Amino acid sequence: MSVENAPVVDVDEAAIPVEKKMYYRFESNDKKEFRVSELAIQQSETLNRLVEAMGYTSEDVENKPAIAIENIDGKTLKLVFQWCEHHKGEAIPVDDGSVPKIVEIPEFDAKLMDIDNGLLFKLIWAADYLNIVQLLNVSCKKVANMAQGKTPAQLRRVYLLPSDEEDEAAKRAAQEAQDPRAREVEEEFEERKRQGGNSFF
Amino acid sequence: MAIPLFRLPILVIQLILESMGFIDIFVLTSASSKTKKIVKNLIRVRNHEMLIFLEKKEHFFNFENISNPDLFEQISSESRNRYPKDFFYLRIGTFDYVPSEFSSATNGVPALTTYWCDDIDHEKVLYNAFIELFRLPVKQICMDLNGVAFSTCKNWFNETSFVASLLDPSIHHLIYRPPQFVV
Repeated sequence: MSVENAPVVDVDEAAIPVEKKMYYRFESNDKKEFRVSELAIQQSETLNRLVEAMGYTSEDVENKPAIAIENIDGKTLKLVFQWCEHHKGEAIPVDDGSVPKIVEIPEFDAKLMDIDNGLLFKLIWAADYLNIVQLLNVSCKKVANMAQGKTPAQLRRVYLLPSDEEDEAAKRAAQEAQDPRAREVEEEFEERKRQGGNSFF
Repeated sequence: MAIPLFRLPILVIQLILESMGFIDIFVLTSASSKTKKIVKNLIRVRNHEMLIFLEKKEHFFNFENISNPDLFEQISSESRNRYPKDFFYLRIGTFDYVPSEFSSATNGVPALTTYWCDDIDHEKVLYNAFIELFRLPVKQICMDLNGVAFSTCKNWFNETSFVASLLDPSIHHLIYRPPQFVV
């Protein structure tokens, strides 16, 4: 039978059972609880696998304790779940292999990441831990954008990069901590060199 | 508050570096020797090509996206006959203090200009620095020989001959603009 000839049947939409949306409960390390939709969780590969493995029913979600996320605090987790809820149902991006990467930060994400750098640092750690590909992409792009138009000295301040002198001093300090006599030996060596000695021993 | 880049997981550092543009990466390598070493080890440029333009006063290195050539960045070098106003120093090759400044090329494309003494083969120094850092293929070398002294032309041919031999003749080009004589 062709589609045109198929009988038209009135459907009582109220009679169709509506699948109930499931919301999972998560708890941050500072005991703040969040309810997150099943679809939003799919943005995080780590959480998605976790809830799949747990196989919770709607009753389990309500009756059992919230799933603890031990190493992320409430403030960061709130941002993460806000992002997941906003982007729920979107496809996980596939890397096209280009380097440098072309990443555009959508308006919502830009507003969400309008935070201090300390919180942005925690957000990146959380996105990496929870394996949220697109959140990691946009947050890394935000950090990458901080380099635009900066001189090497400014970049050292923005990214807390030690200069060569600081690296050298840290290396010496580490050596000294390992061998306390190293400095004395070095000073003795320098002294002998000043005195014109060819051999240390 | 700053972002402590090297306290992030290594794959995240790599992702951040891969999200930066060519100019930002190049300038970042001047921050410290350790930074240069890390950037060099983590960055693998893909889907981009380099185009070299040699002219009498300036040399340009364009970094083009293969699938979208409109997306490019430009780093240039010129002899230091004028001193830039807002300059900073970059470490390029064995040179620790190369005066440089940010600018905009045509169409607002991000650009960086480096200033060199006349007696340095700056195009060679820059080329080696880019190949060492980005390891990307050269698509085209274009020489404008107008007003260029014969000895300089000879130099350019000698310096670029090894690069030219690496170009794929089927898709890449070595272009010369011969000098125009006024009668």
